[in-house]
Amino acid sequence: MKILIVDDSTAMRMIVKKTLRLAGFEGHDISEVDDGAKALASIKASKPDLVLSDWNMPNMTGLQLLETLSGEGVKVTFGFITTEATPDMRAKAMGAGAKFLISKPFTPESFKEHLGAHIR
Amino acid sequence: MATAYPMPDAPKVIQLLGLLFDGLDVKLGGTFDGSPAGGAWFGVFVADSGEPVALCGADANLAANMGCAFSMLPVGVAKDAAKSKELTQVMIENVREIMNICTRLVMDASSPHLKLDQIYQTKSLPAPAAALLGAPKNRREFQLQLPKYGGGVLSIVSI
Repeated sequence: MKILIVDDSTAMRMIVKKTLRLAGFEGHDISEVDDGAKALASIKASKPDLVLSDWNMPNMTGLQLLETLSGEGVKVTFGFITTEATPDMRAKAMGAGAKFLISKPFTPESFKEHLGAHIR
Repeated sequence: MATAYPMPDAPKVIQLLGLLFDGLDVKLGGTFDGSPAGGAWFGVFVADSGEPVALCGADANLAANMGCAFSMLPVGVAKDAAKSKELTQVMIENVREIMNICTRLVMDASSPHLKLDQIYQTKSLPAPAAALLGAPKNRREFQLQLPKYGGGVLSIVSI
């Protein structure tokens, strides 16, 4: 599977990649970008199977990214990995078409729980 | 007395920072040089009000070693930086990234929200952060050892 990690923190992208491995999701084609605008271009160009996105990012937030993708009819499995997960954020994420929202601090177990149905 | 911002234990430190540094070893304790001449770097963690509520300090050795190991800079660069107590711009940015992650060391499911404001060397700490460093309610030190690079002391203080 092609997985795109979108986060403006280099350290957080490293942690997400490592946690994917620890959760047993190995052998996938993982790429990464550091803001929503770059993610939009990357998704259109490389058509990943799964996008794991932060919420707050420069240039284009994760929610704006998802809404733009939906508005342009781009089909991709999209989920959030974010520091905070208020009920309002969850409602907005799901309303925009997100498949899941994992709040930090996450664990390999929470990755398995949320991503097991989406990573083959 | 319980604190609103939980102090981490060694397993929590290794669980978190071990995701960034393979083979990291962490032991509780250590002597942290937070003097202005010591060359330590601090992440200043602030509440939503902007008030500093916790600090995460890396002494000069740890800042140099983590700042290099994060992007696999040569070990010699880390040794030079530890000796001179001066980090390159890339190393400073790496320490900022690491300190941003370290916010999670003083967070749990019930703790109030906080975020990294900025990183500073001791001599440049803003007055409210310096005051917290001088009189914290809670304080804990850890000795960290990074394979190939070396170690240093991490200090966590909070209100």
